Amino acid sequence: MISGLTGRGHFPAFTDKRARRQAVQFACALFLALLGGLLWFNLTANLGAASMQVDFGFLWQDSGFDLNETVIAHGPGASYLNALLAGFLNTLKLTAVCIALATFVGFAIGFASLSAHPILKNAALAYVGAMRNLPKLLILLAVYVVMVRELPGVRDAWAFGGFVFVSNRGIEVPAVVLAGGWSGWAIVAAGVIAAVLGWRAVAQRGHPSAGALLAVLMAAAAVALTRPQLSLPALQGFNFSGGWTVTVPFLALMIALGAYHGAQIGELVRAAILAVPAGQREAGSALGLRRMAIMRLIVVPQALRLMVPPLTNQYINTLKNTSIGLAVGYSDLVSVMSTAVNQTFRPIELMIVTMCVYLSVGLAVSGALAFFGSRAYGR
Amino acid sequence: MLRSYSLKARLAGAATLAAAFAQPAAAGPVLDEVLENGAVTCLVNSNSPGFSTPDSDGRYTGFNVAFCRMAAAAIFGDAGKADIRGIGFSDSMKTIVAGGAHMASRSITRTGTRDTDPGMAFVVTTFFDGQGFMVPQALGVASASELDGATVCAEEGSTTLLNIADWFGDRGMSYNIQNIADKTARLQAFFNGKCDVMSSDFSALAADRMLAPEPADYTLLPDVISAEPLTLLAQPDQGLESVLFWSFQVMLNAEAHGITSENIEDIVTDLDNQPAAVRRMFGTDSAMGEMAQKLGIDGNWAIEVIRQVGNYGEVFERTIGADSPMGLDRTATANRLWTDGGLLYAHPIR
Repeated sequence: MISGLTGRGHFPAFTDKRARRQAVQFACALFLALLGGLLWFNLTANLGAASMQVDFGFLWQDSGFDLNETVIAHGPGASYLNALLAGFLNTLKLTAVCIALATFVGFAIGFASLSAHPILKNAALAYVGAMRNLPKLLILLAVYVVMVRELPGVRDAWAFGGFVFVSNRGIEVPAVVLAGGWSGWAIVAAGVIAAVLGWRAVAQRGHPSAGALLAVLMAAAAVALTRPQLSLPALQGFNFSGGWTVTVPFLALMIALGAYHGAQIGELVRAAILAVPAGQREAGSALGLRRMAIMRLIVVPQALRLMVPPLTNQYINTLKNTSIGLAVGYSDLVSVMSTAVNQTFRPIELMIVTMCVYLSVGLAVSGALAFFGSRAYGR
Repeated sequence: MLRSYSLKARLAGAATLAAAFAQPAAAGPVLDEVLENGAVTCLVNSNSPGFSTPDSDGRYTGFNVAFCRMAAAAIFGDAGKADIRGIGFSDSMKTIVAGGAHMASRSITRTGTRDTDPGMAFVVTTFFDGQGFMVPQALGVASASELDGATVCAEEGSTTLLNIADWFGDRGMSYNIQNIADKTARLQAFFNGKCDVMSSDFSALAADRMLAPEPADYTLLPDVISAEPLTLLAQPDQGLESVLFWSFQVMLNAEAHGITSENIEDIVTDLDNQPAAVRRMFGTDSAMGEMAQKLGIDGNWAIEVIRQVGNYGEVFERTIGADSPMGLDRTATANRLWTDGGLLYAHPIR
């Protein structure tokens, strides 16, 4: 008590917990800012000595190269910035698919590894052991080479009913083509939302048939606006044209990263379920709940809460690991960056851009999951 | 022209004077560093059949490697004093700029934007190449103009992608580019028909064809879509650049005079009866000797280059020529002396 009194009287900054914390925070921030400043100074000084300077102006110049399977169009006449954006969207597309697949595989493996059935359990554990101990690039190259070698060439593609084709270039499926491309899909999405909302509003007032009519009218309007057409894949010249293609590089990356991160997620699902105290399960069975109900109602909700931090980590790792795509010709952000570095010889600027992009997406993912965690469990 | 000549002459005069007072004149800080270091660090492709491949002991051999050895023979009188390192294409230029290596002999195309980068200097073109296409015989294509809509496999990171974009774009032809960084993945994709065609420099395509399960199933199309002067790269340094440039000229001049690694000893012992140009090349008090003094290296450098590495034609035939596994017909390329209709112009040594 005495020390507390004297402390409060004489050295408020050292004894007041909040002030002390703020002082430490401030010191850390200052240190980081100084370190960053030193690095920047060092960089510009060294570049200056070699009569080079950091200049992002080249981003608006014509790139001169083509990219394949992009979400937004990119050709030689489009800028480097456009190329990087196209690469970034490809990274996001691949990451989203890989995260979905890895989560599915992870939960399946996690539950299987806790199964009472010895074959299922050991198979899951063996899968985790194998995937965890192989480099992901090796897995990717193996998947890619096997697909390219074992799937038929484009002229001998396996046909399924004449409208789905599988070759070593990819899987061709029929596609719905809308007038206006992306804006067409936006109209459809808006139409669906409006139809659902309208149908619910009208049906709730006791006129279900009127609601259905409204929904049909909305759908008819969307069809009239977008004029959907079915595009079937067909072999024309060197390649399939028409339809929609999932390419082999994309499939190989999806399988390799889905399998690799699936194993990692499987382990953390298993750990999170095991971390739920046994008493919880016992309490459930004391209440007479079935095994599945105990899992669904008691164990999994608590395990999910434990899973969020390591799962965030896995998702961010998946994002970063899509960069191995350049090995098999997938135009992700790093692949585009690497090509751009070779053309412009501006590695520093391009690396800064790329790092900032990865950093912001990574922070956004962890922020979103932290928000989800706090909302769902009141932390 | 006259003015610049006289200026040059005056500078040369000044340099000779300076050399007379300060013995081994400061040739260049990088060359000095090489001499101090005891080995010249030289970057090559880590696996390019014919051009640079490591043997079972990790010792590199091949066409590009010969110019690393040429530099070591000229600077140290010992071709073994080259520290040869295999490295990827884009990393090689970054390494030179960062000062991590003295030179690169790695099939790098000399382009204007690369040349104006202050961190590196292109010295002399050792191989005149061009970009072309390789297709399976079974595709039944005789010319690249029939490739509309084709899927093209190419290597990440070089002028390759730009040349393809220009070529197809200029003709209004569509194509699908597969830019595959991993060599195994790229070759597997091409040999298994995932791509219709592979595009690269002719020399690289010839090397890749050797890796096919059945090389005869593949053919190089006659179309040349770009000029690729594959050039030695060095850290910018007057001294080092002079050593590389003039050692290479010695290899050309030696070929022009029929001097090889086999007969160099006889030529040197019988130097007095040789033509003046040969005497200037191999005599210690000759032009090459004077240059050596300015550069601070041994006066016998021309002799050592020819004895330990050979003349240009010897190196070509030994590593990539018609009788080597690469099987490149030299007469079908521009890599012949200009007197034989090629692009290699032996500069005067005097």
